[in-house]
Amino acid sequence: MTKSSGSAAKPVKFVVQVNASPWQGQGAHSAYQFIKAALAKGHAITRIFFFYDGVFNAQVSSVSMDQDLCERWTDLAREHGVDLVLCVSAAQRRGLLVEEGRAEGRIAPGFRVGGLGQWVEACGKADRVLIFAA
Amino acid sequence: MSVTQSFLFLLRQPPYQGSRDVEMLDQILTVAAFDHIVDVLFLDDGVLHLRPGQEPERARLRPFAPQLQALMLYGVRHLAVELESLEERAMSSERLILPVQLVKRAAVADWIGQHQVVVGC
Repeated sequence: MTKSSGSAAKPVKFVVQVNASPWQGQGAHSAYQFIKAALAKGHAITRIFFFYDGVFNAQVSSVSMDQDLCERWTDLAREHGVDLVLCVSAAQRRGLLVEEGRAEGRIAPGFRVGGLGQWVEACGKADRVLIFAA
Repeated sequence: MSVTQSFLFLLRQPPYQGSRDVEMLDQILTVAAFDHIVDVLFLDDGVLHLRPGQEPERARLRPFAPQLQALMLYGVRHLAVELESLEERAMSSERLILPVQLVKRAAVADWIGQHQVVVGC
């Protein structure tokens, strides 16, 4: 008897880099949809790294339409324990961090501030690295 | 210490787009600092980075070419440019601001295939 191997794919460990802000093309939205689909299929998202204008995904905004995706990222972190890392220098350049480190109230819950080194480290442990640009 | 990986950065965007240049370089140099293999391929409008005679100061932009030259100092293995991208922009491979190896368009897919992590920027 041979066992069927085609039914369940082997889980893949993904690292995702998001370069686009929520209001800049579809990049960030596509990233979110991909991640939801991958998790639903049993794959792992070991880290999401927000770089370039992608750091704006973490910005708490007073406009509810813009806020939509930001809240979904927060839900993703809470429900699936996905590690959401903002590039510290990209965030600082864009005025997202008032001082070095986390600025409560401006960065949405679930996100943390980190560096490019954490992206490199995550790449080393991943099966696939995906980048979503604008 | 994790295993050495090979990274390929595909530079496809023209220079002088805000902080993009510096952030792209930060990412490349960070990977190199972790002792991974790093190759860089200039492609499409990315070849404009290599154009001689840039005078960004006249437009009050910060020169980026000197920073790009840091790529060679920080252990980037290959710097390459796609020949057809140069030709399409009337640029000569003889006059570029960095010593780069020429890669034909037909060979780019192979180049990409030889790397474990490919980063478009």
